[in-house]
Amino acid sequence: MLLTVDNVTKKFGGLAAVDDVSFTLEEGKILGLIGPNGAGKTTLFNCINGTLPLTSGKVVFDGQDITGKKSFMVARMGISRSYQIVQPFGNMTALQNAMVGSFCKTNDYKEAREIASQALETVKLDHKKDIVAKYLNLGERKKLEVAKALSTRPKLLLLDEVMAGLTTTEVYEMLEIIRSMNASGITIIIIEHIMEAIMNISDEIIVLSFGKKIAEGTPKAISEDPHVIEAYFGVEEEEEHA
Amino acid sequence: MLKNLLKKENSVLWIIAFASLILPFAIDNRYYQDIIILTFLWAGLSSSWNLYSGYCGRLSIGHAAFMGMGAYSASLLSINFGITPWVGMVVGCIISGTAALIIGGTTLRLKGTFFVLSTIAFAEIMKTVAITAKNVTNGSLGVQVPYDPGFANLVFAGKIPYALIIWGYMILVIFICTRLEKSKLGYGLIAVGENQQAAENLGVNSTKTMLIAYVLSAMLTSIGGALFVQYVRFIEPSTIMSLAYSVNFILYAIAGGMGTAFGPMLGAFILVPATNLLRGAITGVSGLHQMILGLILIGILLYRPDGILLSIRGAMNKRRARAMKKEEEGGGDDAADGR
Amino acid sequence: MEQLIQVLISGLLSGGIYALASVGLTLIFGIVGLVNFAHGDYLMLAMYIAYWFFSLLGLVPYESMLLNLVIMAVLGYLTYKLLMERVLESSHSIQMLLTLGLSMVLQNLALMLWRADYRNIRVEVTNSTIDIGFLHLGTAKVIGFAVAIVASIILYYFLQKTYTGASMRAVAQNGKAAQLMGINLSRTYCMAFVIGTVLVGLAGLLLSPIYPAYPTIGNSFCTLCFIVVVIGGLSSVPGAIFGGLLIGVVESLAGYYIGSAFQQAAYFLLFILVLVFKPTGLFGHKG
Repeated sequence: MLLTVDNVTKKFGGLAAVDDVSFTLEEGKILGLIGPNGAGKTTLFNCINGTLPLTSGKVVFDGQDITGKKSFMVARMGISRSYQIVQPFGNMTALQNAMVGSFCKTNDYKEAREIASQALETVKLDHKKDIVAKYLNLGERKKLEVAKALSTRPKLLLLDEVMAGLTTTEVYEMLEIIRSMNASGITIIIIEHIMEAIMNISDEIIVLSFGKKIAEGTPKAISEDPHVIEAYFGVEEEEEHA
Repeated sequence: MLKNLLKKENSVLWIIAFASLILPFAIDNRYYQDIIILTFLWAGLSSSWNLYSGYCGRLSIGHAAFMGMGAYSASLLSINFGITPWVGMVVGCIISGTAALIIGGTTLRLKGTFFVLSTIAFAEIMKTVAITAKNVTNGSLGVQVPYDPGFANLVFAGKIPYALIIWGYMILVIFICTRLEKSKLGYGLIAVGENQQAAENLGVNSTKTMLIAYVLSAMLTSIGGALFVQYVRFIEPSTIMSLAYSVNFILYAIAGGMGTAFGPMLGAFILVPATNLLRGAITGVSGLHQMILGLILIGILLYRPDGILLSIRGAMNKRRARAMKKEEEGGGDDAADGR
Repeated sequence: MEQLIQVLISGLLSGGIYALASVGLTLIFGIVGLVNFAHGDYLMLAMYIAYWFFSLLGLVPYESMLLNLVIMAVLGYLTYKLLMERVLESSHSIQMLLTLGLSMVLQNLALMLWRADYRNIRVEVTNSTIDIGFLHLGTAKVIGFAVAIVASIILYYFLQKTYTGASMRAVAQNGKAAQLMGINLSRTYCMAFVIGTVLVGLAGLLLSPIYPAYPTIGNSFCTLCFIVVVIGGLSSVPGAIFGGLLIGVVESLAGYYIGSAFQQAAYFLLFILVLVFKPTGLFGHKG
């Protein structure tokens, strides 16, 4: 197992944002993480990569216990993440942005440049490598977000809504990018609201609701699970009407 | 073509830096040579400040403390124990490095405004210590370096040796900054300055990165302080460790462009001679010179807060982004043409 | 014992005046969001203005109070409109450097106008004392404390009972939300800055019979205000008042028992300790 999440709980005040969640992930898979807004998906990412300390539980990655490790340590061990709200270093060029990530695994300037260039190529942003990040549009920033994470040469990539706000063409392009990263051997956990996309790309899906894991299985099984339809799709519809 | 220009930007600036050495030889006038030497010195000092605060975007308004530490170490060791200032310079480096390690270890994690306030407090404490520890520092009377020319004493009769050594100091600091810009440390530092959490998630140990840069910056500053005291041959704590001196570091860097290797040098090259010539011209009115410096600072902040180099670079970046966009919009035809 | 009480009360009296200056800084920081390094220099200006009225017209600082405060209000208004308003959207670094630059200008302007000499206002209250039992309290300090209390009460009523005061409190809580509620942000900021300047001016005026005026006197009071404000939790008016009184007492005790040389260093040490261990201040909220 590449990743084992064991009874992880994260409480804010008295409220459990992530409530006793457990799952395992095999190397090379794509795991989809879905659930209504506020289900605790992003918080779970923050718990896995060390941004937030756990209230209780354990995270084991690649045979090592990473519970309580700081996020930069976790990044160096091979877990990298992208943010739902893009966080580019605005005054650095796209290439320099990615190089911050590639220095994670090397101290050599040329090598870092090489790794970052490859990452930009993978996300199809290499033609914009010398453009300063603040002048990129949303689609390009989302790609840059992925490229930064990819530059750290992760074994496991946590992608938080990388397709939100993109045009249909861009969504397809992003799906291609995710598939090609997966094909190169990177295991991926992806949070996404676009159902078609996530059902299409994931090997397996976990559904969170109010911090709890309510279902787990193949995309097909999940889409037919009555609990999921009630808890997830039901809530979603209500929200839309409201 | 733009890429070449960017590369050229650095080589043009290197040429300016190296060519400036001609000045003290070409101008055989002690008054002007003095201004040139002070310009080199402040260029080096401001670049040292830039190494941490400029790249990371977190202001230290207390660097005069490190300058003072270097100056006191060099002068006191040589006066009291006959140790050559060259060794005193190294001792000063170690002392300020250690001080930076301790103070940085406790304050670097503070958020923006709090960090800035703590740097001021630190410098004020050091100044008070220098004034009150009369037995060691001679208190507010200051320290006078005896006139005894010789390489070992780092005191010279003419201006040229000072010009050479202090110019070398400036070049050293700038060189370190250009290396930093192409290193893991530099990338980490800039990233932390822009977004600490995002940098951490890419494997940057922000605490360590900031601490290394802060210590390095303090050490280089203290070398400048040592050179300053050996050149001017007199220091008093209420001047060398003053807030006004701390502001000078920042003023030149901002004028030229914070977080660029050559920005502080450009700022110092323009402002140090300008203000010194001004001071020479209006010796009658005390305070006018500092007031004009203050007005210049306000003017820069209101009208050109990016400074010279960043304004140029920003304009180029913008133009490049626009050109790219235009190319893309028009690019549909190119693709159709089977490019 | 009697000595200790004397020292404590004397410190408390100075603390009242410090509190006044610090409340001014708190308003500027808490409402406008500016770290104003020139704050102490307005104290210096008010002292010189008091000195002017004294030496030219023979007015005791208390007599020229109203005029002095009006001048301070105008200076505050001009500073806000000409400088501060233009950097409200800029980074904190730029704002701080701007106020530093302003401080340089004001101090050196004072140096040019009045030179570095100490300017004393020697009036009746300077050396007289009010004696209550074993206590001997400087008259100027007692008057200063009384005026500070009156000013604090007026400020309290202003903040609690008037619309402008309420909008200032609302902006301190959340500027954006306040704007959505129809509060004129720009006017509120300006008001807060002017009131802050007037308060520090009042403090300067009350100090003028006790301390001599000189161009850099603002520096030590500026740092003092910052220490008080940080201890008080940055944007809390009661916190600043408490912090001011506390610093007054600490200063008085330190001056009596340790000696004044290390007084300044002790301030800054206290300051760094609070910054590092309780950056939200003794009165501040969490987060």
